[in-house]
Parts: sequence; structure tokens; C-alpha cells
Amino acid sequence: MKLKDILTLIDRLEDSSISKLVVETEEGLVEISKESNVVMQSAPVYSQHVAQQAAPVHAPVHSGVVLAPEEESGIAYITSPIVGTFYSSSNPASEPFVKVGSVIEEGQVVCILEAMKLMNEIESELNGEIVEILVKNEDMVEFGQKIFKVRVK
Amino acid sequence: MSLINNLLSILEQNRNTYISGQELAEKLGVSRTGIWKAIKRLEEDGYMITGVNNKGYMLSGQSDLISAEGISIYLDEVNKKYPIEVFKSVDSTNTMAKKLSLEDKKSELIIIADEQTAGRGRMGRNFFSPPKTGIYMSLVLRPNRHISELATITVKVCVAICRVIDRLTNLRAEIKWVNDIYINGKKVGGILTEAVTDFESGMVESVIIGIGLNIKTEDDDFPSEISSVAGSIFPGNVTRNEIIGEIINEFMQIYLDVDNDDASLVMGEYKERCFLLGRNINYYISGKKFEGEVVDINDLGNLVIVNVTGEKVILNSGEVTLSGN
Repeated sequence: MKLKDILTLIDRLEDSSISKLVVETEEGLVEISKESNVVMQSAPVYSQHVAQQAAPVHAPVHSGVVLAPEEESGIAYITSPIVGTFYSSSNPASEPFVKVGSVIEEGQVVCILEAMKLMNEIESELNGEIVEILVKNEDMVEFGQKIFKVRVK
Repeated sequence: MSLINNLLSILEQNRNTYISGQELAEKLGVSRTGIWKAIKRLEEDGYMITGVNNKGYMLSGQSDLISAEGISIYLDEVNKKYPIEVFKSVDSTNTMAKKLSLEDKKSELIIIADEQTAGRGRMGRNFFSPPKTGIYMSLVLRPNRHISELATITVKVCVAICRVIDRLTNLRAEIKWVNDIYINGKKVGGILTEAVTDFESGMVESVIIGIGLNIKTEDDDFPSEISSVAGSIFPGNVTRNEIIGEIINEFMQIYLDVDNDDASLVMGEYKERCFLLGRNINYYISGKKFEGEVVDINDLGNLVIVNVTGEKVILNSGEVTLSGN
């Protein structure tokens, strides 16, 4: 695929209601996504991707799921791997898994994300300290949305 | 397996049929006195066994204790590989399953209890789980798939359970989106699926599917706060062992359909059984209450709603209730 074609796709995506596009050609895979500002008005994009393919797809390269180091050094974000509802604790009566200032370790559960009644315990891949929690309990979160700001140790 | 397990296995395979003490003794390589003692042990555990001179021993068809031996009779060959652990009483089968799954990070297993002292629904809500009358079961699976591929796992469990209820009884099981099983307008069970997911790769390490079903809970036995909405299946002479075995078979068949041949069939059936279609509901987004009409369930099992201002909203999580309720 030529650069020109990719730029055209980007323009088209910009004006469309979809937020991610994956094109597979013999030369490889092009994945373009944009930050969606439409909350809960569209079906989860990753799922559209799955639905349109006959065979089960392997996990695409999730740009939204990788750590996103900022200019500010040592800062990374834990982002949502799905569209769903964010829960800060395992039940309303218990303490949140983490708070601002909590020191987290790799493998530690930081929140629950629910989609279709699948309660996903999300484990941190980072060692560090929670600097900011960017969503509220029971908020809907989008695919790739930043949830926790972490100072990596 | 111990003598007791082997004896139980033979009795379960020959329900309602007498087997002589001599035959049992020969099969199991012990004396007839040994058999007699083992029978006493089973009776003490609550098994209904009749012993008649010159005929032998018989496990009554009415006996309804859950056991791995009893379930195994109904399992498809391919499903006999999953270890089944049956407990008399646990706090919650999902909690127990999680604990056991951490001890052996590779194993897939099935945990069943006759009673839960702290049965859990969604977000820590209580699930009433008295002894002798229900099925409380958790399946630990290691799908090694991306979380997006497991998005419809609760849908699949719902459909499997409904198919089994329909097949073993004269009833028609319905679904309240997402995960509740209803019969004749009353909730008879629910599903709580919990996964541990690596956020970076999005790969699911383990998934625990918790199933709670009221099989023969009398109306009077439900706590007053749920007695008007909760019901039971009452499957006649069908044992809990058979229901459990059939649910495992049915679900595994859907779940292991890796080519997704039946995916749209399963989703179609889910939709057909979902009684929210066409109804007005309340739904909640980030704690705020909205109202709308359910117009469809899409291919992902998401609820398609047209809200009061005419906007189309697609829900894939959260709680909904019939409005006016």
C-alpha cells in the first residue's frame, strides 16, 4: 500500500463515525485508529473487527494497550483493553483495589472491567505508584482509554 | 479411587437396579462385609440405598446427592478429562475455584458445592444458595485467547443452560440480559463470569464461570426480600448430577466450537430467549439512570436501545431493569 493511500484512509477515517480501521494486504497490516469522543453510541470497535471476520482473529496489535510514556519521564498509563464498565473495587462495600498514592506491583489487580457480565480483573504489568485515576467508579470506558496514570519505578 | 468411590460409581451406573453383595464384592475385590461397611458409609453421607436379602443393594432414583461419580455417567467422553471436585459446603464456588486455580496455574477444573455460605452475584451481591436444592458450580478454563474473543462467553453459558432445562423438563427457559435465567417470569439462576486478564497483551489467563441454579427450592424457603422474584426449576425426577453433566456437555460443545460454526445460531437463540426485546427498560450509564425501549440484540449480544429522545444506544455492560418495576 502506498503512503498516499494510507493518507487517504486517514482522511476518510477522520470524517467517519468509526474509530479504527484495519487493512490487511499481501504486504502486511495497516492499522489506523483515532481517539473516539463518542461514548457508548457505537459498538466496541475491536468487536466489529472480530465480527467481520469469519475466522477467529488473533489479537491485533493494540496500540491502545501498550504503555504510553509521555514527555514527562517515568510516567505511563494503564489503559482499558475493552469497552466496558470500570469498577474500582470488587464490590461496593469493599475498599478500592488502588488509590492515588498506592504502590502497585506487576501482577497486582488494579480494577475490574465488565463487558457482557464478564468481570475482568485487570492485572498491572507495571511496578510503580498510582499518580492519578482518570475515571470514576462505574464509568463506561472506551477501548484504549487511559485509566490510571502511573509513575514507573 | 477408594472403595467408596468405586462402589458409588457402580451404584450410580445401576440406579433403581439391585446388585448382589456378592457381585459387588467380586467386582471390587473385597469381602461382602467390606461392601456392607462401605454401603453404611454412603448411607451416612445421605445416599438413599435399599438393601434387600437375596437381591442386594440399590441406589434409589430419588437419591439426589451430587458426586463426581454420578456426574461422570452423563459426561461426553471428551469432558471426562476435567477433574471435578464436589464440596458439601463452601463460601462460594467461584472463590474456591480461584483459590485452587492459583495453586495450579495450568489446570482446568470444575468445582461444585451442595451449599454456598456466601454465594456471590455480580459486584458482591448475595446469591441465596441453600443445601440439597441447588446447583452451585464453577468451571475454571484457560482459554489462552484475547479478551475480545471471550466477549460472548456469558451468552454461551446462558444458551447452554437454557437448552438443558428445556430438554430435561417441559419448561421453556428465558434469559434476562445479560446473565439471568428465568422460568415463568421468575429468576431461577444466574451466571457470574470472572476473568484474569493481562492488560498489556489483553490475553485472558484464566476464566472462572460461576453458575447458580435453584433446582428444587420451595417458595417458602427463599428469603422474603427475593421470594416474589425468585423461582425454581423443579425438574421432576431428573437428578442434579444429570443436569450438571448435561450443562457441561452443552456448554463445552459451544465453547470449543473454535471455528465459530454455530456462533450465529447461538446468538440467535440467545436473542429469541431474551424477554427484554420490545420492552421498556431503565438503564444506567456512569451511575445516571436513563429510559428506553429494547429494539434489538446485536451479533455481539449487546443490547440495542432507542432512548426516550430517539437516540440509539448500544449497551454492553451495566445493569438494566424493566421500567415500572
